Amino acid sequence: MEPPAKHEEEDEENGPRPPFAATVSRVAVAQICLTVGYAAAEPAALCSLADVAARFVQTLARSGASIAAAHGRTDANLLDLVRAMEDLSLPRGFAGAFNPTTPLLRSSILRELMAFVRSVEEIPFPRPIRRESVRARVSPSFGQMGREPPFGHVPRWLPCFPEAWERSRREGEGGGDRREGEGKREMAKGVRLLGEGERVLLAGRERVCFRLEYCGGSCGERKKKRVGEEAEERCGKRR
Amino acid sequence: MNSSSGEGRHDDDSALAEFLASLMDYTPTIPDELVEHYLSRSGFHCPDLRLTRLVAVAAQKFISEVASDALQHCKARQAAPVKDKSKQPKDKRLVLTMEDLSKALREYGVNLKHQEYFADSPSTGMEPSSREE
Repeated sequence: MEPPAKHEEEDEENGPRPPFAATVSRVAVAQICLTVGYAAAEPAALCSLADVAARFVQTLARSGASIAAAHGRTDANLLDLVRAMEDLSLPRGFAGAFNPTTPLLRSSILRELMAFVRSVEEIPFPRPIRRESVRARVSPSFGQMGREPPFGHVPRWLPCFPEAWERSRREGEGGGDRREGEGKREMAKGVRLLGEGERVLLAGRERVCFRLEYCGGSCGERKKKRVGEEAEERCGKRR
Repeated sequence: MNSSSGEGRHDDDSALAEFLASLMDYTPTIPDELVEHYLSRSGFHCPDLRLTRLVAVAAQKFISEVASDALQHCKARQAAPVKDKSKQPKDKRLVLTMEDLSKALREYGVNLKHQEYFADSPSTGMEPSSREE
């Protein structure tokens, strides 16, 4: 849901921008208010109602997930959802609330939802929302890549180790476990083609030298020299 | 009697199945992407799109009910006899205000309080003689 630039930009006039989801829910709630009969809305009232809508969805979801977990399931189903909706509607009341043994699929809440869908006109959201693909970021596991983990204690469902690490390990062992027969990688003039699932690791960087300085006092000057000398010595050693 | 109740049950189940199938054609005002975002944030995992649409429809119904209750409050306030005719609003536009919204949400157990105004300090707006410095 979040756009690529997740950082909230500081606007001099209006302050930091609200999250993308809050803005979308505000637009959806404004559309619902229009269909109900409102011509306009105060900004604070619209923001509050959008926040309430978001909290309603989250409460319903949390309740449904905990009911599913209580039954030993990770995936929620329709029965969990209907029970969550009944729990949420209990303070206000619904038909059949007095009888806890009413079958969930015959709940009056479902019937009211069906009547609502039949009566209300369909008003879709004005613009399509870009879906952020989270799957692309997940690295494939050993099992998905069809490879065996290098160590016996590593399970196959864990993501693969970085290729650069595996390569350095193989070079250190003196070519103990060569996989160049795969034909996926070439090393020619420093150019490497990435194999499937391989991540780009940063190449060797230039050496960086720091000079740490304290400010103020004769003691500080002595310290300055000492610290500076130490830093230079370290740099010198590395060079 | 058993057969009639059995038939009734069958009708209910088929009506529910038809409703869930029709949800795939119906587009709720609250978009699927937004609902999926909040569902995944709350730990609700379900690959079935029909349940996502059901949650969206439930949220839409809730907001419609709250908004229509607030509308009733707004209309009641406008229909009430106005004491001072100069204060009568010239336009009959229905505007969603915090006052109507807080009255409507109170019935649903949501306490919404809104500051009328914000002041710099507790003594802002008081007479200079009454201020203690």
